[in-house]
Amino acid sequence: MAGELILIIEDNEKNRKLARDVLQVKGYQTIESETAEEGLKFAVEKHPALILMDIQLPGIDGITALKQLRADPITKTIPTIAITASAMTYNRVTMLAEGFDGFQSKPISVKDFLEEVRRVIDSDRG
Amino acid sequence: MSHELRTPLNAIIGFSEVLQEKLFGELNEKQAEYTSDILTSGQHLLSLINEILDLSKVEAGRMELELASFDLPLAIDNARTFVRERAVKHGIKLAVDVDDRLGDYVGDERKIKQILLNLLSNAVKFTPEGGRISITANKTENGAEISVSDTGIGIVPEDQPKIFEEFRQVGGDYAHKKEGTGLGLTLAKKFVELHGGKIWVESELGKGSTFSFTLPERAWRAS
Repeated sequence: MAGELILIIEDNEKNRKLARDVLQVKGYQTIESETAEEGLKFAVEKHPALILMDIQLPGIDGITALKQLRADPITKTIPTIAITASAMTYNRVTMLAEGFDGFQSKPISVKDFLEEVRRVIDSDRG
Repeated sequence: MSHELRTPLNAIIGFSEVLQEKLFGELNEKQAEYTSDILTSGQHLLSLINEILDLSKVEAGRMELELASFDLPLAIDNARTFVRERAVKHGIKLAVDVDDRLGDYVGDERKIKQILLNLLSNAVKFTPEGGRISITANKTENGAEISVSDTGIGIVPEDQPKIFEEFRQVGGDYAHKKEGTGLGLTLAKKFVELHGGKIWVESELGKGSTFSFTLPERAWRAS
């Protein structure tokens, strides 16, 4: 069952709350950051079981942040789900090609979101 | 712009879904009803935003076709699967007749599926219980012709040219009670025209409607 630590990188306060509440009620632990810069720091320090990465962020965007995660030996294996409100520009195929392990478009469906979180964490364990 | 419009909807749709899924406990009857109203209205607003963004892209000449070769009969079957549940729920029969000679087609698969879905959703919406919808696809000299026929309420001749216009739902009370964005047929027409095809309707009031469109084979260059 759940209990894993999940890092939420998302600049919108309400969307952060939505992810946090849904994950916590299902038993996950969460930490949050509003920017990729801070999120990358948390990733190194806390080594979460999963990262939820918003793509459009102030400062470094989610795709660039993923490249930095993958370049650091400490964080390179942390599974990461891309979350974006621009479903026309980004889709599952292009995001997986960028190196993400999962994809969700906003507005999220809570059920699909939880399934994707579970799937990506479980597939990481092989 | 799409990002700015969808971000607040994520909270509206997401939180109402959290309530509906009872993740934080039971709701009373009124609370459940309002939650479901917020959720369906949020989803309706999302479809409107998506369609308006698509339409504004087409009108600004910035809608590009993502061309690739795809299996046209399979795309038709996918679209049928998408509305099958709703049709069954209303006791509507769904028949498909695809010409064996049709196979791969070079075009924008996502947009062609959208055209089919818009026509099929309308057919389901405007066909009374126990009716029948048929999808026919034929090979023509110059490509394919696809029709969606229903035994629905039909459209009077003077309204027929209007239905492809933006935000025009015709046909009085019955039609107005049906929720829709009012943009489905407008977008279908734009998407058909982007492929160099034509779309038209034949209909008789009280008997049903047939929407047909052509997809010409052209010297597309697959990207």
